[in-house]
Amino acid sequence: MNLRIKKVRLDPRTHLLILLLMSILALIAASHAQSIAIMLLGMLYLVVLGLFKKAFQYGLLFVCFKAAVIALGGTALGTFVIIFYTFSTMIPLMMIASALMASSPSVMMCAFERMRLPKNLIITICILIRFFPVIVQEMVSIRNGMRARGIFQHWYSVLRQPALAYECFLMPLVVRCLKLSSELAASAVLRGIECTVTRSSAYPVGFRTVDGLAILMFFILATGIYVVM
Amino acid sequence: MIELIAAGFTYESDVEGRSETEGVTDLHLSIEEGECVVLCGRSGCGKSTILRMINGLAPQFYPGKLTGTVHVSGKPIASFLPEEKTRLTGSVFQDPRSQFFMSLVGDELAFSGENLGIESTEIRTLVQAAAARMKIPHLLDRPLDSLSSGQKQKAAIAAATILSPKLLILDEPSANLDEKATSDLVQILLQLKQSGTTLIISEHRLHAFLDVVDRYVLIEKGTIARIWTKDDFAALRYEDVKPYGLRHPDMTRVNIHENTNNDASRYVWEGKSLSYAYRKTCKPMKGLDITLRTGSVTALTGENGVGKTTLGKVLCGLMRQQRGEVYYGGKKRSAAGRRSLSYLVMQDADYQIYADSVGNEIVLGRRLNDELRLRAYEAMDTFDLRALRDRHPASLSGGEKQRVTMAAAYCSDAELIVLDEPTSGLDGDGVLKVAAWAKKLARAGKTVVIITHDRILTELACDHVVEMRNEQERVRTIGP
Repeated sequence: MNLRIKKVRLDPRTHLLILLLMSILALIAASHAQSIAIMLLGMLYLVVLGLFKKAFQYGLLFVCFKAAVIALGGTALGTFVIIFYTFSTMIPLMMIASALMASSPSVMMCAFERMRLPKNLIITICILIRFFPVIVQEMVSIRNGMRARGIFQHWYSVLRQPALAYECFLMPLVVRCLKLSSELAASAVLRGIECTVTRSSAYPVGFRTVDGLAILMFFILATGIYVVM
Repeated sequence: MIELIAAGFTYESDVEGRSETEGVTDLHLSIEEGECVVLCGRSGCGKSTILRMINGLAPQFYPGKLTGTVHVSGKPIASFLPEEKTRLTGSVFQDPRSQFFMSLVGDELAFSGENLGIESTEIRTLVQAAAARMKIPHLLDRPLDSLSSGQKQKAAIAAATILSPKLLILDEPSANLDEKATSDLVQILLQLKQSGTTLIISEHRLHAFLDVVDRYVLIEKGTIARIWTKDDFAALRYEDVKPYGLRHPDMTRVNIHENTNNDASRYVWEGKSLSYAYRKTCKPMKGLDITLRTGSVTALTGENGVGKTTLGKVLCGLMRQQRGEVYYGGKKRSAAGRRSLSYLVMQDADYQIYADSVGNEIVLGRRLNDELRLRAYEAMDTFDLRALRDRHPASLSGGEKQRVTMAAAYCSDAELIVLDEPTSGLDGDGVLKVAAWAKKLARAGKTVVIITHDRILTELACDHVVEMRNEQERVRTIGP
């Protein structure tokens, strides 16, 4: 196994700590300039970890939200301004969380176990993470199934009968998710997820110099943003 | 190795209804160490339940009542610690999508070892060894989503055998594989058997496994009806196994009394110099010509990943070709135009069933008038669905769901109907039925295309066979 060492790999606990620091920073930041600086810090974090695509996507999302806030400012749609503003401040947190979710489930489960989190919680978290892409795939398949039957042929057909579309979507999704989740759990049981021994990981798990450096750098930059700006 | 004495299992009735998986009773079976046994029988006869009893999922995971004795290695399976059980048995499910826990092949292989707390360097040695056995070391860094069905099956077997279990249980491992991948699978199983692994397989494609199997066990209505040795089974004629609903290579001699109308029809589907490239797993197709006559059944065959499904989607207008045109009745048709003229029945019926009753499902999405109502009744009669008219589609069995989607296709205005792998995971009776349905659709004046690697279905139902190969296409016509 090539352990993808080309990229900087941080311990999941480092991600969690940085997520905590980021939450505090996002909470106490007040000015417009600060929120942009925090966003850039989040992007820098993803870039250092080699997640360029994610960094770009979140950057774009941030710009869109900011643009919406500016465009709607002064109009009667004040509620939307608040919503968009809140979302834009959440984006840096989502970025750190996405860095955590990009690490291998194997490393995550092992690190969480060392944090003495209850086993049930660890399994739940990992199945949830495993399930996100599955649900997206299932939804794509259902959409394809509808098109293949000639129901909702055009993209605007859904808008004509939204209630029907919702129903048509939800039914197969629930059926599929029930089936998949029970099979996935059965497979995990057969492969020893219930073993009582402390689990290991094929990857090295533990704090290394990189983790210390990352936390230190993040702390310095975050303090800088708060104090200087 | 395995001892079943008067063993039985009844499922606790649950929300899913379990119309497909009935319980089993009074099983007497003894399996030696190193033996390979295939469980065969109709869909829903209880094969999977027996596998679940042996690996302990029933009743540990699927609630229900276990009776009699089920011993593995001389002990009841329930008395094993999770650690012991993980080392002793490996299991491979039918649908590889639902058994993968990780996103990368290498991580997936390591999973069992990690659960047992094996040290990291040792896990990596085990992963490399298992990958080498299955000849997939080059796939270790690939995401599981990007693999072909055959590769996924190999990864699943590698993941199940990483700790070299003494017992390997496989539930319909060949359901999604083409002929070549199936023979690869048999070679892998042979290798495992030679290393002393006991193999228990539930299957529908029985003769493909003759090289590795020692005994065939026939399950009927939840109990063991017959046991054949490999040689006895190989000598059976189709007439002998037909009453049990099993598949047989000679099934193709059956005459399905539905003649398709082969009169030179006015309307013809034509694809001219079609080119398309799609995803990494598929090879690009260039300059492909295809002609389909109304009222005929055409099989699209070829290896996994050659682009059969993609061609089906292009014809239906679900995907756009990059070059070339599709004509129907002499007129050029756009993708959107083709979409309104076609219906693609997906392999998994769950994705195409949306309504709250079978009756509503068949007419879904269209304005109900007397004419449509009449046609819906006709469709329900043709596909034997009258009795199920008011049932919720989610409560139906797999075969019944498939019938509903076929009936919806019959009732629809679609001129072109594409069936994607309609017989994967079906028993002999199921294959015969699908062949008859395809002919019914053709007789109703539809153009039917079946994407399949099931040779039996091809011979039974199809007037024409289009065999797809990389970058070229060959048309072979069979039948009158």
